[in-house]
Amino acid sequence: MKEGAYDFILKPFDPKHLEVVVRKALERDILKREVEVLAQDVDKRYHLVVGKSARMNEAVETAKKAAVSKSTVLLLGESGTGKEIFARSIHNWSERKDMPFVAINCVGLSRELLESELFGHEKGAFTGAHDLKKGKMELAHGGTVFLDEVGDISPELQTKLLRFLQEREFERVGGTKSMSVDVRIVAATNRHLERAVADGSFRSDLYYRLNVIPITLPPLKERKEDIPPLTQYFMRRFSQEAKKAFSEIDPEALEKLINYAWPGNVRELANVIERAVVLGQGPRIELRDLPSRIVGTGPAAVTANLSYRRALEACRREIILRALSQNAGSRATAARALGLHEKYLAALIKNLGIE
Amino acid sequence: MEAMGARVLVVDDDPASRDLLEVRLSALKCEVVMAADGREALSAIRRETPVLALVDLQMPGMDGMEVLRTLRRDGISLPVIVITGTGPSKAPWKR
Repeated sequence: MKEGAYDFILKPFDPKHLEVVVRKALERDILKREVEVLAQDVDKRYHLVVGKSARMNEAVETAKKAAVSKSTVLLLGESGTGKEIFARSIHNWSERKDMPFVAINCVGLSRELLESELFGHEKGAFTGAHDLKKGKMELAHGGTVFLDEVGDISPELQTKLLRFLQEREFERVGGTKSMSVDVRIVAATNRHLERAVADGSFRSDLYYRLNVIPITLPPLKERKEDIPPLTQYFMRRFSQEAKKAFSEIDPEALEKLINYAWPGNVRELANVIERAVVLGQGPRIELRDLPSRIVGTGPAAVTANLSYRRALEACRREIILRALSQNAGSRATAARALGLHEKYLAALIKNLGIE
Repeated sequence: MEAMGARVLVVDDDPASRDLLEVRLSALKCEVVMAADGREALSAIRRETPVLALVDLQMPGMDGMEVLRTLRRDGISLPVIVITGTGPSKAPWKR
């Protein structure tokens, strides 16, 4: 990696990613032990918290129906929308729930390492392969394999994965014997796979194999009604963990949370609430416990990390949503308040996809 | 597997981030040492001999990249995890 950095993590911190990265670094560089499989017990941290938005409930209903089958599920949605929690939930709703759930992140590993993670390797398959190692597909036999960031895998591995999906058969790296396993695949990506197929970077036949039951997880900004219950939930959870007594939130602070654009989605919300609980006094989350990007008023809060065009869109959306909510949803009065013709406002609402 | 008291250095100019990382790393049973900028980091590395460093890239004064370059130039092969950016930028619809 550039300049000899071992790995990287992104702000806002995803606690699990942090844990994985730190553990890997310590294990590889100090303990020289083999990276351990992230098995069943990893995530007691997150539960699936649905909220009441129609779109999320629709996704859950589809997932529950899909869980009883063995069909491949493809989870789509921005980072932080909860794809892994969803994958775990699908596993737990299925009759495989007592078998292993094995997650693998397809991004960040070299092609060779990823292939050996997935399919294992024989002793002596490559330099450093001192022992036979079972891959995650093998370890998950009878259970579910979660392939995160599947849109990022190399063309060679796409071919191998395709063969695996078609025949449920594979060879370990350096091996000749075909192995067969019974696993259920749940894949996830935040890439536009159709676009990747169109530009040739993703195999179309693999795409169709993965896209059997696609489920799209809505970004948090499109289900703002879920922000208050999610906030309550995270406040209780992190209070317990941090042994603090947070029980409520300043209404103004809650409004800031509702108005923020949440580019990092539920994960970002969880991090913000955790930070407020860890650093705050309690028992109420106050405005000052929130990071400046959220408290900051005006366009900056809405447009963080967006391109010019997207930022403009976000601002227009925000302005219109505010006007609508201040006018009890009436387009006529909202249009008057904004100084727009009602027809033009209606066109904007349509173009921006506001419901 | 626990990190078994491994000494880890956190370098970040933002106190809130430092605190959060300390909480997290302590939960992993790491012994956490902190530095608020690049210069503090370099002296902490020599003094405390951590086995791993988490370094924020964006810091006033000596930034994370400079810390890395200095370490490598001095032949110190301490594994470094860099902390970057704000949030996910990979999603195509956010470009």
